[in-house]
Amino acid sequence: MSGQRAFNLLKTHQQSSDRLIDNFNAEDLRAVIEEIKVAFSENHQDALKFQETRDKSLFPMIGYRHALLQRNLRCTLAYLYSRLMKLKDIRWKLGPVINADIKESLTEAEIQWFNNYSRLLTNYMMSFPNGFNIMTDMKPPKSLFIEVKCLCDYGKFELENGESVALQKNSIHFLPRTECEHLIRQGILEHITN
Amino acid sequence: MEPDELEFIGEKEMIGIIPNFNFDLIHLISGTIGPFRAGLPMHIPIWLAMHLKRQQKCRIVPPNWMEKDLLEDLKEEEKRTANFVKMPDSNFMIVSKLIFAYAAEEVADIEEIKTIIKDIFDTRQAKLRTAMDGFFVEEKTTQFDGSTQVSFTNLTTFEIHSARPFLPYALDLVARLERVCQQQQSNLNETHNSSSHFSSSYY
Amino acid sequence: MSDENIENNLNESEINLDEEDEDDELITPQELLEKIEIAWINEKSAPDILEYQGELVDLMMGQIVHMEENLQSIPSNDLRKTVHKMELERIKYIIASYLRCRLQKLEDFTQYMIEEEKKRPLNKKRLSEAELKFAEDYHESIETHFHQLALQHLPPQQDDISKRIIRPNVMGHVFVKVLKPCGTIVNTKDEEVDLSENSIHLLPYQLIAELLNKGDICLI
Repeated sequence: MSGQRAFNLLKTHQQSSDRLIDNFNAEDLRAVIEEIKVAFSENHQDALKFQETRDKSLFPMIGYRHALLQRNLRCTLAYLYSRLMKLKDIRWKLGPVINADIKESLTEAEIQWFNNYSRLLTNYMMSFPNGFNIMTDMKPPKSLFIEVKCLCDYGKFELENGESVALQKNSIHFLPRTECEHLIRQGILEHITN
Repeated sequence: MEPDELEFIGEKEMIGIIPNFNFDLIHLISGTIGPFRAGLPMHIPIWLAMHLKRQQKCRIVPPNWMEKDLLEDLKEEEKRTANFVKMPDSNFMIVSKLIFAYAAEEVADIEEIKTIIKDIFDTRQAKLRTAMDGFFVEEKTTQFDGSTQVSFTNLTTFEIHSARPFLPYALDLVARLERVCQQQQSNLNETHNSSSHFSSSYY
Repeated sequence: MSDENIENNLNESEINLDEEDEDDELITPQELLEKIEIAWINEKSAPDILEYQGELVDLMMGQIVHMEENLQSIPSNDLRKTVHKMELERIKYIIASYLRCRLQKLEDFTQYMIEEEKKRPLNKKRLSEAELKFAEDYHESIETHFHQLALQHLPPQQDDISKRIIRPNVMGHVFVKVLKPCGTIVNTKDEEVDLSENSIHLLPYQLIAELLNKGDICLI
C-alpha cells in the first residue's frame, strides 16, 4: 500500500504523448480504487479500536492511510480528467466520429462522454439563429484558396461550385480553404506553405 | 495572441495601392472602398491589397513613413529617448513585414530600410528588457521623468506580445510565491490548518 | 436584385442596436465590427470571462447571413463577390474565435463560472443562456463520468467537490490600453498609476476589471 499504482497510472498515461490517446488502463485503475477501499476500511477499524482503547499510537498509521487515500483519489480523477481533455482535443481536431483505431483505446463510458460532448457543442451552436459553426475558421483566414498536397489516395472530392477534383497521393491542388479545412485536420491533405 | 492572429489584426490597416483596372465602389462591412480607377492611387485594407497584388491587379504603394531619412531620424530619436517613441503606425512591425513580403520591389533602398527597421526594433527590445527587469528589482531606480513606473506607452501590439509569454507569467509567479509566503506566515500563527496543502485553486 | 441593392441596406443605413430602447442607439456596420474586434481581443486577454456581447454578436451574424444571401446573386467571377467573401471570412473568424475563447474558459473553470454567474444580479449576468446551459451540462457530464468510473466504487464522502474547483487567476497581469482618461489607480505595490489617455500599463486584471467593463480601457 504505497501509492505506487496511482503513480503508475499517471506516468504511463503521460508517457504516451505521441499517440492521440493511450489505452484505457483498467487494471491499474481498479488496483488504485481497491487500495482506497482497503485504506478506508482499515482506518475505520482503527478508529473503532481507538474508541475502545484510546491508544494514540494508532494515529500515525491512520494519518498515513488518509493521506494515501486522498492522493489515490486525486490521481484517479486526474487520470480520468486528463483523458477527457484528450478526447475533447480529438473532437475538435477530427470531428464527431471516432475512428475504430481510437475507439479501441477507450472504455465505454469515455465513448459515451465523447458523444455527449459532441451533442453539447451542437446544442450550443444551434442556439444561434442560423446554427453558427464555431468548429470551422480555426485559423485566421489568409486567402480564399490554398495550395494543398494530398497525402493519400482519397478519391473524388466535389466542390461547392460543382467541380470535382481527384485527390490522389502526392497530387497538388489549389482549393477553397473553407472546403478543404476538415480534410487537412484529418491528415488527408497537407497545407503547403512557403 | 498567436503570431498569425497578430498578423491578421495588422492586415486590417489601410494601405495605398495603384490598381490597373476600373471598378465601382464596394460597400464592405468595414467601410466603403473605391472607386477603383486604373493608374489612380487609393487606399484599401492590407488583406485585400495582398489579394489583388497576388492576382497582379495592383501595385502596392509603401506607406509614407517607409522612407530612409525619416526612419533614420526615428532610429536616432529612439536611441536618445528613455521612453518608447511613438511609431508612425500602431502595427509598425507587422505592416513592415507584410510590405517586405509582398511589395519589396516597390520600396526604394529596401535593404537599408530593412536594416534601420531592425535597428529600431532591437533598440526598443533592449528598452523593453530593461523595463521588464525594473519590475523585479526591489529598489527602484527613478525614471527620468521622476516616476518609478515602467512605461509601456507607445509600444506596438506586436512588441507587447513579444513580452507577453514571459512578463505577465513571471509577475504572476512572483505574486503567487508572495501569497504562499503570506499563507505560510498565517499558518504558523494558527495552530492547525490541515487542508491548506490540498488547495486546488489555480493561480 | 440589381447590383446596387446588394449592399445598400448594409451600409447606407444604420442598424438599430437596441430595439427596445426608447432613444434608439444607432450604429454603423463599421462601428459594429470595431466593437466586436475589441470585445474579441479583450476576451482573449482576460483571465476571467467578460460580459457576453450578445447584441453585437447577433447583429453581426444577421449582417453575415444577409450578405451571404445577397452574394448568391452575384456571378462568381465578379470581383465584388471575392472581396465580400474574403471580408466575411475575416469576420466569421473573429466571431468564432470570440465564442470559442469563451467556451474554453467555461470548460477550464466550469464550476467556478457557474457559481459566480449564479451570484450575479440579473442585470450583471455575463453568460448567455446557451453558454450557461453548456457549462452546466458540461459540468454534469464530467461529474457523471467521475462517478461512473471511480466515485461510485469508493467509500462515501471521500470526494469533496469543493476542493476540486479550478479558478482563473484574477490577479494575473494584463496589458491595458487606456481609451478614456480614468484618473489614477493604486497598484499592488501601493504606487499610483496615472491612467492617461492612450497610455499602456501592465496591471493585475482584478484592479482594472471594472474599468474594462465600462469600456474606458481595453486589453492588448
